[in-house]
Amino acid sequence: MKRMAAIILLLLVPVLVRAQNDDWWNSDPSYVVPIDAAAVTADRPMRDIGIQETKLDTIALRDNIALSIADVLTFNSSVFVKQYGRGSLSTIAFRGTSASHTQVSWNGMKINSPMLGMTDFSMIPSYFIDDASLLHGSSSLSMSGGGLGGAVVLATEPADYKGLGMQAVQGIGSFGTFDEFLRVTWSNDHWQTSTRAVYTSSRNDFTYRNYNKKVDGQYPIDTNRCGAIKDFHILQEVYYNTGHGDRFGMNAWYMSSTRGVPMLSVDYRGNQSYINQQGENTLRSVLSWDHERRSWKLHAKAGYNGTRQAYDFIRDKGNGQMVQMVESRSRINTIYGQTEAEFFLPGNWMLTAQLAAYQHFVQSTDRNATVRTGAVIDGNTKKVAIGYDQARFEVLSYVSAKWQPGPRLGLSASLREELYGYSFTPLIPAVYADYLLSRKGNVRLKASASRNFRFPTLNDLYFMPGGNPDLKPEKGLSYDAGVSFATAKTDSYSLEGEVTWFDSFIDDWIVWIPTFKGYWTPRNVKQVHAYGIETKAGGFYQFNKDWQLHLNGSFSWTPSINNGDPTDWADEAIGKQLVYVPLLSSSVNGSLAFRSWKLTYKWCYYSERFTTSDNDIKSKIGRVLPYFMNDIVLEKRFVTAPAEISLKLAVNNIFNEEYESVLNRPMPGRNFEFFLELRPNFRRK
Amino acid sequence: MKTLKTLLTAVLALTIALLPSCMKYGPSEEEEFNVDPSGDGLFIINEGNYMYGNASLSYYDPATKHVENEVFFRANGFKLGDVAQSMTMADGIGWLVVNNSGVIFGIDPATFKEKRRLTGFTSPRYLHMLSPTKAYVTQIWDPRVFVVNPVTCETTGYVTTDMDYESGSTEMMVAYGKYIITNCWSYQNRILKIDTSTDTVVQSLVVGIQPESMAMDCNGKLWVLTDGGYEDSEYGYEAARLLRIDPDSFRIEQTFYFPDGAVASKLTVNSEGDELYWLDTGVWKMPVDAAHLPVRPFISRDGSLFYGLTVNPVNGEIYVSDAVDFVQSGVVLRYSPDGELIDTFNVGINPGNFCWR
Amino acid sequence: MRRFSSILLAVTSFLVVSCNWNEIIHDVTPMPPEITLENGSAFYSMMAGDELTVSPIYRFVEGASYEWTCDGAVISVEPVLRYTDTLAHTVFIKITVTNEFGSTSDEIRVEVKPLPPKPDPEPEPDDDFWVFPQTIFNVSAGRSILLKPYDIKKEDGIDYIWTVDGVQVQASEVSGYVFEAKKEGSYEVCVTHGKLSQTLTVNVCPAEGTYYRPATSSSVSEISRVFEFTPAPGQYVNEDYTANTPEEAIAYVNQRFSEVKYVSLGGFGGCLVAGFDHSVDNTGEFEIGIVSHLSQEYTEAGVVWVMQDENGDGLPNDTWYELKGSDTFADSTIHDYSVTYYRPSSPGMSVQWTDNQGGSGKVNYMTAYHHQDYYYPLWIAEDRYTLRGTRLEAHNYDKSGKGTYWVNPPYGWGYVDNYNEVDMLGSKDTNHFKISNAVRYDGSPANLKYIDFVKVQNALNASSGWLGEVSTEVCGIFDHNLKK
Repeated sequence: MKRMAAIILLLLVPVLVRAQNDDWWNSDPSYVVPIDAAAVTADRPMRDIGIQETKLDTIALRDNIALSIADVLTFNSSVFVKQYGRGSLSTIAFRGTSASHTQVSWNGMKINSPMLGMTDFSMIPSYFIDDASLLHGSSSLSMSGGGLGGAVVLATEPADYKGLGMQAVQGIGSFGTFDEFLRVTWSNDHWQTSTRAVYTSSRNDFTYRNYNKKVDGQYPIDTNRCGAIKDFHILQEVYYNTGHGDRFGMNAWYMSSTRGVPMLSVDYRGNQSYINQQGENTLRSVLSWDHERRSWKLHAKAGYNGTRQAYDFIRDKGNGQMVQMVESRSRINTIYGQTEAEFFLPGNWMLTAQLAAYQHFVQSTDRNATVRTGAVIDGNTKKVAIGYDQARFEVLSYVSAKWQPGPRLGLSASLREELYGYSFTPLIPAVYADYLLSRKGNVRLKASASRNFRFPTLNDLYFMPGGNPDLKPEKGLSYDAGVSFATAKTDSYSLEGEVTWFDSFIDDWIVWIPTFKGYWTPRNVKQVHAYGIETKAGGFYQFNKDWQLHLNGSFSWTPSINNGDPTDWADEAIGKQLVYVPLLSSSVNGSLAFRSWKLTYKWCYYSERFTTSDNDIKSKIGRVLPYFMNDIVLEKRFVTAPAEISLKLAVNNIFNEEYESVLNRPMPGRNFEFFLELRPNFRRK
Repeated sequence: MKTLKTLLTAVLALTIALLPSCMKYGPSEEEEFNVDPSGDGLFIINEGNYMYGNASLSYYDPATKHVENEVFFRANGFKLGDVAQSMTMADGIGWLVVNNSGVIFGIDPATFKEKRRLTGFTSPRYLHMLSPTKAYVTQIWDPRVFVVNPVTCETTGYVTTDMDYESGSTEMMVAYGKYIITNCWSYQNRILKIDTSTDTVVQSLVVGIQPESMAMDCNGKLWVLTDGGYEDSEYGYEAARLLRIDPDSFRIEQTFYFPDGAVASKLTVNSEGDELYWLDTGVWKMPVDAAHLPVRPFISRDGSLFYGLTVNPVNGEIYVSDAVDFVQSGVVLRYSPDGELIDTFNVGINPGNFCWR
Repeated sequence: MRRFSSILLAVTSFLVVSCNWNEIIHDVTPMPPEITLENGSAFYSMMAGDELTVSPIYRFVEGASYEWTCDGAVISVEPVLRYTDTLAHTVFIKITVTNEFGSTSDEIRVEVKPLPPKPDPEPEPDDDFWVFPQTIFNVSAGRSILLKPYDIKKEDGIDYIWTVDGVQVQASEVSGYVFEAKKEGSYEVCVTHGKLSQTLTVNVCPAEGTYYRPATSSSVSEISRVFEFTPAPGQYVNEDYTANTPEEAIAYVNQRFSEVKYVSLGGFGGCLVAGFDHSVDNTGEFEIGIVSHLSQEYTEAGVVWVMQDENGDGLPNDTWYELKGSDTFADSTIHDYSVTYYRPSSPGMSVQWTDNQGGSGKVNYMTAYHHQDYYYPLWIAEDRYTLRGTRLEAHNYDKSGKGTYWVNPPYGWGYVDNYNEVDMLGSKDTNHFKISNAVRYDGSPANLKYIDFVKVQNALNASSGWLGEVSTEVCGIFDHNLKK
C-alpha cells in the first residue's frame, strides 16, 4: 500500500482511520504512483449518500506553490473561475449562479465575507490546503445553507511523517515574481505539528498588446499597471491524538496581503498619478476536538476570524501632491462555535446533528464625505466617514438521517434551519438517494432535491448609501440526478466518471441597480432558471513500471436563464443567459510520468461570457470571447542521501494567447516560473 | 481503456464543436464613415457600465431615421473607454469626455475619426470651449476647473474654488457673457460664476442640495434643477427644486418646490427657449413663465426607465432615452413637439447624454 | 361798430365751435379671469379624513362662476374648495373660472396620505391635577413672591394647607400663598391638598443691589448670552437648521443674531431667554430695545419679561417680572395660560396641542412652503411639552373674505413684533421697553432698580389660514441706554 492508496483513503474514509505509512521522504524518486483497484471501487461511506462532490487530489493541490485555489480549480473542475487579472480578485461560481452563491469553509468554519458574501480564492494558497472538495447544488446543504450554487470545503490535515521533516521551495518567475515556501513538520505517536509559510511577491508588470487603445495609429504594447502583489501567509498547526479515539487540534492561519488593483486597459491616466491598492490582514484560527467511538462521533470546534481590509485610492492633484480620494476600511470579527454528532444505529441508520453559531462584528467605512452641520446652510463644515457598524448573530442548525436498507440502496433526508440576526429562514429540507446499479464498473445512480435560501449580506442590507434593509432572502429550489462509475485493475489502470443533470430555480435574486441619485441599491429582482449537465472523468493508465499516464477532465453545460418578468417595455433580457456566466466550460489535466520525470499539461476552456443582459453579439466592444488556456509543467526529481531535490519549470499560456477573462482587464501572455524544491533527509542517521 | 478514450474524445469534440471559432480578441478594422453634413445629426453618448469599459457613441440621422452604433470604435479601431459622460461640439470638433478613462477625444463629426486627444485628467465630466485655444474642463471630486489648450493638448492652469478634493466637484457649464456658470453637484449645494478673463470664481450662490442640471432660457434667465440628494445622505436630503436665477445679479428670482419623492433630473430647454423640459419618471414640460410646476407629465410611458433627454434645437422634437435594465442596449424614443411618438431605435448601454451636430 | 360786430361774430363763432366735456372714461377691458394658486405650487397634501382648503387668488372675477372638477365630476362651485377624502391616493382637481370674457383653468394635485395609526390614549396620572413648573425659588430679601400650583383641573372645595419650615402659615380654598422674603436663608415650603402634597424651596437672597453689575466702558449693548431657546412648534422651526440639543439650538440663535436674522418663536409660549454682560439700569425711560420684523398690518406680538440676578449666580433662575403693555390688564388677556404640544408620530404631520382652558387645536403643516419633516423642535427630548405665559387675544382676520389676505392689527404698545407709534421711537424694526413697567404677580409695580435677564414669549395662540401660526420673530435684543 503506497502513496496512491493513501491518498485515496485519505479522501474517502473518515479522518482518523488512515494509513500510517505515507512517507514524507521517499527513497524512490519515481513519479509513477501505484494503482490500487480496491481503493477505487470501494463502497462509498454512508455520509456520502447522494452527494455530488468533486474532490481535488493532492496531485492537483501540490502542483505548484505559486498557485492559489482559484488557479487549481480553473484546471481541475468545471466551476467558473472569474479572474479580474493576474493576482487579482478571483471568484468561483457553480452551476450558472454567482460568486455569492458559493459557500466556503476552512476547517469547518465558514469564511465567506459577511459583508460581501463572496470569497476571494486568489487569497488562498493551494499549498495551505490538504483537503479540498466541491459540493455541488443540494449537496452543499450538509455544510451550510445559502450555497445556491454549491460549496467549497477546504481543510488542513496533520502530516503523517514521523520525526522531523522539512520542505523548502524557491520559485523565480516572469514579471519579477518570487515565491518562497517553507514547511517544517514534526510528529510522534501522539503529537503532530506543522508550520508552513509562503511569501509571494511580484511586480506583476507584464506587457500585453492593448487592442483597446491606439497610440499614433498603432495598438501599443502596454504594461499591466498598479498590479504589484506582496502576500505573506503563515499557518501553524498542532494536533494531539490520544490514540484512543480523541484528537485535539489547533490551526491558525495569518495572512497579510498588499495588492494593487490593476487599471483597465482603457484607462488613460498615468500610472504615477494614482495609487489604487487594497490591503488585507486576516487571522483565522480553529480549535477542534474529535471524539470517536464505534457507534458515535462527536466533533466540537471553536474559531475566530479577524479581518482588516483597506482600500485606498490616492491621486495626484496634478502638481505632485497626492490626495486621498477613497479611504475605505472594514473590520470583521467573527467568533464561531460548532458541535456535530454522528450516531450509527442498528439497521444501517446514521443520524447526524449539527449546530453552529457565528457572531459577526462588522465595521465598514467608506470615503470621507463632507457634510452640512447645524444651522450653517452654505459651505461645508464637517468631514465624516460614512459607513455602518453591525453585529449579526447567525445560528445554523442541521439534522439528517441516512439509511441503507440494503447493500445497493442508500437514502438520506435532512432539515436545516438558520437564523440571521432576528430573521429565521424557512425550513430547508433536502432528500438524497443513491443506488448501486451494477457492481461491475461500480455503476451508481444518484439523485437529490432541496430548497435553499440565501440571506442578504451586510452590504446588501446596510451599505451607505444604497443598502436596502427590506431585502428578502434569495430562494432556491434544485434537483439533480446523475450516474457515476469507477473501475480499476491494480497496477494497470483506473477509470472514474460521472455525469450529472441539474435543474434549479432561484427567485428574488439580489441585483444591485443604479438609481438616479448617483448610487446603487440592491433589489430582489430576478428569477433565474439554471440547469445543465456537469461531467467529469479521470483515470490512470500504467504502461509499464516506468511509464504512467494520468488524465482528468471535466465539462459543464450551464444555461442560466433570466426567467423574470420584463423590467421595461424594451427589455430584451428575458430568456437570455445571465451576465458573466459561461454556457460551456471545460478543463483537462493530463500528466505523463516517466520514472523521475513528469510532464503535466493543463488546458481549460470557457465559452463567451456575455456582459449584457440581452446577450448582444452585434456589439464589438462588449464581448468577452471564448478562450483556451494551455499551461505546461516539467518536473524532475533527484534523490540523494542528504536530501530529495526536485526541479520544476512551469510555462503558463504556452501559446501566448491574447485574451480577457473580464472585459478590459489585461491578462498576461506566455510566462515562466522555475522552482527548486529541497527536502532534507533527517532520518539518514 | 477504450471507454476512457471514447469519453475524452467525446468531451473534447463536443467542446470544440460548440466554439464560435471565427472571433478572436485582436485588432479591428477601421470603418470609413462620411455622414451628410447638411441637416441635423444626433450623437448619443452611451455611458456603459462603471469599470466595464463599454462606453460607446451612437449616431442618428433624424432625416433618414438611421442609427449607427459604436461609431467611435468602428471608425477608430479602439474603444471609447470607461463611462462616457458628455460630448460638446465646437469649431467642427466633437469633444467626447470619458470620465473613468481620464481622457477627452476630439472627433470629426462626419467621419467619427479621432482628431485630438486630451489627457492628464483624473475624472473629467464636461468640456466647454471658450476660444480655439482655451477650454474649461470640469471634474467630479476635484475642486478645480481645468483650463486646457485644445490645440497643444496641454493643461495651462486651473480655476480654483473653496471646495475640497473629497467632495468638491463641478459639472455642466453655461456661458453668460464673459462668465461661465457651473453647478457643483455631488455633495454640494451651489452654483459658481467664473470670470473667464481672469479664470477666477467671482460669485457663488447656494441653490439647494445637489444642483443637477442647468439651462438658459429665451429671457436670458438661468434655470437650475436640484435633485435634493438622497434619503439618509449625510449631506442632507430635501425635495428637489427648480430655480430661476438672474445670471447678472446672481440672485434667485423664483423657487419651485417639487413634491416629496420626486426624482427630477436632466433639465433642458426647447428650441425657442420658452419651455423647460426635465425627467421625473416621465418627461415634464413647463413654460418659462408658468406660475407653478405642472402636476402631470407631458410624456409618460409605463414600463420605461427614462435616462437621458434632449430637444432638437431646430424643430423642437423631443428625444428621450430608456436605459432598460442598465446592462443591455438602451433605446431612444423620438417624439414630436406635441408628444407624438415618431421613432424608436436601439443604442448602446446607458445612453445618458446627447449632442447635436 | 363794424369792428365790434366782427369781434362779436368771431367770439360767437368761436363759442359755437368750442366744446367743454367733463366725463370719466370707463371702458371695461375684456379680461378673462386670472387664477393664482395661493403659494405658487399646485402640489397639495392632506391626511385621509382631514379637510383641505384650497383658496386661489383670483383676479377679474366680477360675476364669475367657479367650477372644481375631479375626473370630470363637479365637486364644488365655490371660490374656495374644501376638499375631504378618506381614501389614501392621488387626485387631480381642476378649477375653471368663467366670466363674461372667457374662462381660465388650472389643475392641482392632491396627495391624500394614509392616516397613521392612532396612538394609545395616555392615562392621565393623578398628579396632573396640579403642576409646579418650578420648585426652587430665589428672591431678594424685602420682596414677596406668589407660590402656587398651576393648571388646577377643577375646584373641589378642599383647603390648600401651606407650611414654612413645618409651621402652618395658611389654610384656605385659595391655592396660592404669598411668601414674604425677610431674612436671608433657605426655607422649605410645603403645600398639601387632600392626598396631594408638594415641597418647594425658597432661597431668600441678599437685598437688591448686592449683585448689581454697573455698565463699564467695555460693556456691550447687545445681549451677551442666550440661555434658552424653546420655541413652540411652527413652520420655521427646524427649517434650514438642525439642532438636536438645547446647546445646538442656542448656537443657532447666536449664529442668526450675528447675521441680524430672525429666529421664530413658533406658536404660543415659544420663548427666548438672554442676558447682558452688565445690569441694565431702570432710568424711567425706554431702556431695552428688541429688534424684529415689524408690519403695520400684521402684528405677531410677544410679551417681555425681565429678571434680576437675585442670587448672583449669573443664571436666570430668579423671579420673572412681566413688563406691562397696553393690554396687560384687559379682560381678554389670560395670565398663566399654558399650552401643551404633542410630538407628531410621522413627518409631514401637523402638531396637536391642548391648553389649560380646555381648548385644543393644531399647528398646521404647511406643505407648500416648509418642507422640513417636523415642526416640533428636534431638541425637545420629551414627546410633549408645556409652555406657559400671558396670552393676548388675537385680532387676526381674513380681510379678503376668500382666505387670501390676512391681517392682524397691532396692539397699543409694550410688545415685541408689534407696530405702533408709542414704543418704536421712530425706528423701523425695534420696539422699546421700560423696566419701570415691570409688574408683580398682582399687577403692582415691581420697582426694579435694574435687570440682568430678558425673556421674550409669544403671546398669541392664533393661526391665519395659509400664513400659518402667528409667531413672534426676534432678530436681536440690546440695552438702549448704551446706544444713546
